[in-house]
Amino acid sequence: MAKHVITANRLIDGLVVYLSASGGWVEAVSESLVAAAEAALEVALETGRAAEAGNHVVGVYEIEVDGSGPAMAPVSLRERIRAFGPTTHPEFGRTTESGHYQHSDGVEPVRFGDA
Amino acid sequence: MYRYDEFDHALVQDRVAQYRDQVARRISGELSEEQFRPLRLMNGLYLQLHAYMLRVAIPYGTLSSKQLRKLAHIARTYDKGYGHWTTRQNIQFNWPKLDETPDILAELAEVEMHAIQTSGNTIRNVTADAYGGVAADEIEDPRIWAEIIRQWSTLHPEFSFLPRKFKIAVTGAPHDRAAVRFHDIGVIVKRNWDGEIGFEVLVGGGLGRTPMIAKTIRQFLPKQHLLSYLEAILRVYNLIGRRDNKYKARIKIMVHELGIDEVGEMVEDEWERIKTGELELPADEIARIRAYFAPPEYEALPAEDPGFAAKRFEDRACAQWVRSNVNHHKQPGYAIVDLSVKPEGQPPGDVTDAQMDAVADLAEAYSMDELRVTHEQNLVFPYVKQSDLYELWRKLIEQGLATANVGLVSDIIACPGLDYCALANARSIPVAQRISKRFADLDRQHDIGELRMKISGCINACGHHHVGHIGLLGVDRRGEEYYQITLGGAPGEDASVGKIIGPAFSSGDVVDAVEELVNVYVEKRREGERFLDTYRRIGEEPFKTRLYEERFHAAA
Repeated sequence: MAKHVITANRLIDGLVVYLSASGGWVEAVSESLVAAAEAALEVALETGRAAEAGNHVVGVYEIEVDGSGPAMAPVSLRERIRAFGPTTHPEFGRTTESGHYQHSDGVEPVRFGDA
Repeated sequence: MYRYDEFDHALVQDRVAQYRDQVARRISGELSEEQFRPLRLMNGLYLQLHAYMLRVAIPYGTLSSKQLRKLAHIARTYDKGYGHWTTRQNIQFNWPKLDETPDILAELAEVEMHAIQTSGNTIRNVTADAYGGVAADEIEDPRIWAEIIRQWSTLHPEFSFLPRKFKIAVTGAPHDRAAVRFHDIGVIVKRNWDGEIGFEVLVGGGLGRTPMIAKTIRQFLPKQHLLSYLEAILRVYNLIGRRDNKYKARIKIMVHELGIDEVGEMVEDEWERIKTGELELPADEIARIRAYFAPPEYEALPAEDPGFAAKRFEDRACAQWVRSNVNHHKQPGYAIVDLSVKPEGQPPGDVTDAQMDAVADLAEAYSMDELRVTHEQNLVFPYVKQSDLYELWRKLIEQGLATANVGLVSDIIACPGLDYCALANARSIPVAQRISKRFADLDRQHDIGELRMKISGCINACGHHHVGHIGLLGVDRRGEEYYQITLGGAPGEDASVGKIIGPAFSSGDVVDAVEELVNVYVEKRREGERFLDTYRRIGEEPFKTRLYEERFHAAA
């Protein structure tokens, strides 16, 4: 099975979070608990749903990821944008990887307000 | 401008207190997300990709400097230092924290603002021509009527749970700058044969997955009946509009399925019953609201300011800015100034807190303390003396708000797209930024002339792509961003819905494709033709041939 992690938005501030191995919620996808088997994913989802029922997070679901450790990234563009921030605003992002901000013609966005 | 009376103040403050309690109950766990969601939406709070998003209403796009300073303060204190003007004359904050949102609403209430009915299946913030009260071609200020509609529709108990959201736009001029034909109800101020002022009422327009041009339901409605007639339309819709299918629930589908004649008869029947009741507008009430929108104290000035005419002659860049960003005013010696919030390569419609503060100061100094937000995501100074234009232009340059591109190819409407929006399939803003950079040369843009470019990141069409001369719709093709191109849309009095020209383009190719379309126009145009005119004259074939046979045969 492809690797999966559990994501949600934190109730209090709405920020994107991931379920960690300790059962808490972290902002960095690279620090999330990775499930590589169906059974592990089901357990992780149950933990996530319990946190939703406990009103800590909203909208729990699983996403596919690639790689491990600091290089770990969600597979879909939508989830990469959730993990790393809007591609138009490097100053509000969560990654230093410039590829995330590069437009498809190679142009880097101007930092906002530097017009 | 309109000022809250005691009822408005009490209503908004009650709502803040009610919402504060709801948020507290949500955080304590007393309310589940399912229970809380409709409550937060009634106050404009969404949960988007990265965070909560708060949409604040700016009724008919009119703001005072004081209100704009408050928005700057909110951006700085509760958000990441910026806000985003939307395509419905609202502002969105992209990063508020749930527990701080009651404080934001309390701060807004201090300056007579709120977020009520900026979401949900209600009558949404009423929009109007951003040049209301000052346009040279205007019959009457549409904001008088937009304000009357706002008061009637705010917390209207009968229309709090409509089949779907409901949008009303008003124009006071024959030249439609408010896209009234693409609203659930469009109201056009007009004169009848006897010279009396009243309204043409249109119904059933909209964009989204089923774009429709509104149809006229009443050619002429006397002023005093505006609310009773709107109430009759809403009642018919509320009763027979579909609730079984979200995608068929807008009034445009009802009008399309039943036909305008049948809907018109039902509305007239209902209206006959209520037209002389409590909703009939007394003349003194109309006069009371009208007084809020009385023209400011203009100075008596010559029609053309000689000093500015000379400056314009000397400074080519200023002349270029005047050509695209300055408009005729109904008052001699004054001008309407568009502030472009589309600087080269920047996200359309984003402004920083510092820019908002600076604009508030400039509006105070040069525009009688008032500005407007346009549905095209720009700002307007409605009351600028021609003799101040040169100085204002220099100051707007310092703020990055004087790009001479209003109405040109880089003045792009774009929805937030996949960078923010939970519904989007593809990004909109980065494509807008790339097109803006591709056409950065302002001389070239001015040579191309008026070209309405609009981008949506999904079929909901918040970026109005259906009514772009060139429209782009982002689609997801096996995980990759692709963009479908439509041509020939128009939002105004010559309304049309754009037509899909062929297979979608990859993100890598789409900007080249747009440039090729512009090239075809430049090659084929006749004297005085805009892109839209040339397209309407020659049809889609030359554009299609260039894209799919000559340029991108591999892409198709």
